[in-house]
Amino acid sequence: MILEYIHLNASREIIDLEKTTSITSGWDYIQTSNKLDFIKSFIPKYLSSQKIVLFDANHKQLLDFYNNNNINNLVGIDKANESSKILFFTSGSSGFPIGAFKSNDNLLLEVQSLKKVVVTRDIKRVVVSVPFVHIYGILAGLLLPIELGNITLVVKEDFLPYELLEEAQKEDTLVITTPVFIKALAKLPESKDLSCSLFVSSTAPLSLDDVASFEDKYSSSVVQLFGSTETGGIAYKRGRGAEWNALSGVEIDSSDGKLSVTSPFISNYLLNTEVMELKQPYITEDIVEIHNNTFTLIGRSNKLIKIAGKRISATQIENILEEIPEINRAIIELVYKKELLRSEQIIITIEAVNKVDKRIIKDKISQYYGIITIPFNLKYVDKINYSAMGKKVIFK
Amino acid sequence: MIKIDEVKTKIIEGLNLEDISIEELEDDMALFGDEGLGLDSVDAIELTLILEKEFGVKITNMAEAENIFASSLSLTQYINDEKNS
Repeated sequence: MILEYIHLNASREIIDLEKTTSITSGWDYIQTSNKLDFIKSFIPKYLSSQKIVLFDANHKQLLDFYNNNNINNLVGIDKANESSKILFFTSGSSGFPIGAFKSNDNLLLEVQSLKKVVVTRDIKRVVVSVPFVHIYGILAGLLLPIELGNITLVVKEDFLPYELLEEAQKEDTLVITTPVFIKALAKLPESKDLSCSLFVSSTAPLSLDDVASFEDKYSSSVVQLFGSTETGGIAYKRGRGAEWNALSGVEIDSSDGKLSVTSPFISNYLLNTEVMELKQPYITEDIVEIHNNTFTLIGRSNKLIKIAGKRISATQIENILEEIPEINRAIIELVYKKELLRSEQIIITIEAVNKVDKRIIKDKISQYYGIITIPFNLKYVDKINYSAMGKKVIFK
Repeated sequence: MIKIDEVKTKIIEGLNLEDISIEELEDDMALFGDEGLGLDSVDAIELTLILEKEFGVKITNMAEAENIFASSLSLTQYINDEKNS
C-alpha cells in the first residue's frame, strides 16, 4: 500500500508500506502518538501477522500497566493467544481500561462488512482525518484501505477544513472522518461538487440537520457507523436516514430496553486484570427501540457520556477529580451545544477549598484518559451534599 | 481596526470557554499546547470558522495557522494585516 503523508509545511512524502521480517513471537506494543510513525510501524507488522497491542502512552493507568506487566505472561493469555491479533484498550466504565482482543476473523469479517456498506463506487484514494486512538480509526482508516488494495492512503496529523476539502475534491476519494469535519465543511462559505467522493463518519451521531447541510452543499453523502471497541461495528446509517441498520452479520435485539448484539465482530476475550472470555449476546448501555433489523437510538443508560468516540463514566471522572487535594466533591453534567463542532461538552461543578488551576484538572483527567480531549467548563459552588438516595445535590 | 478584546470575546464565545474572562486571557498567552489556554486541534478547526465568519479572514493550512494562532495578539495582528492588505 502506498502512503502519501502530508507534512505540516504541505510537502508530501510517499512511502511504500510492505511486510516486515522483524516480528516477535509474542505481543508487540505500538504507541498511538504521531500518525506517520504509527502507520510505518503498524502496517508492516499487521501485514506480517505480528500480534499488536495498541497503547496510548499518555494514559497513566496504561503506562503503569505496561511498565508492571508483560502481557505475554498474563493469566489466561494462552486462550486469547490462539486467535487474537490486535489488543485495543477502551476507557471502561468501572475505573480501569478494558482491553478488547480482536481475532483475525473479527477484523477481516468486519472490514468486509464495512466495504459492502461504504464502498459503493471505485475508490483509488483513502483520506484519513481521524486519529488511530480508537478501533474506528484502525478499521476504517487502515484495514479497509488494505482490504481495498491498490490504494493510496492520504494522511496528515491535523487537517483544517480547507485542507480536507482540497483532498476530498480529487476523484474517487473515500474520506474517513468524524462529525467535527462533516459539520465544519458544512459551515464553510464556499461549496464544491464532491459527488465523486464518499464520506464515512463515526465516534458520535450527526444530527439530521448537519447531514442535510453537508449533502446539500457538496452533492455528496455520508455513511455513519455505530459501534464500540468491544462489539466492533454494530450498525450504519446512510445519508438522512433516521434509523440505524444492523451491519451484515450482526443480529440486534433489545434487552430491558438496552441494545443487545450478537456478532462475529465482538471480541472473544477481554482483558481486565486477567483475560476473560466474553459471552454473546453483548448487552450495551445504549437505550434503543428495535424495528426488525434496524433501531432508533433513544439514549444511554447510567452516567455514561461519550466524548471523542469514547464512552466515559461521569462517576469515574468525579472520583478522579476528588483525588485532587483542593477538591472536596465534584459533579459532572453533560451538555449538548449544537452550534459547536464538538457538541458534547461537560460542566464540572466543584466544591473546593481553593480555586483549582484548570491545567491541574486537565492533567489529572489525561492521566486516566490519555490523549482523548475532554472539553469542559468549571463551576464552583459552596456545597455539594448527598441526598437520601445517595445522589449528589448542589447547594449554591 | 479590530481591537484585541473583540478578538478575545469571539474566541471565548465561539469556543464556549465560559470559565475564562477577557482579563484572564492575556494578550500573549499561548492559545495552544500544555502551557496557556490549552486549545487543541478541534479548537483550531473551530477558530478558522470563527475567523472567517466574524472577521472575513480565511485560513487554509495548518502551517500558517500555527503562527497565527500563537496568541490573541498574533491573531489580532493577522486579522488587521489581512484587512489592510
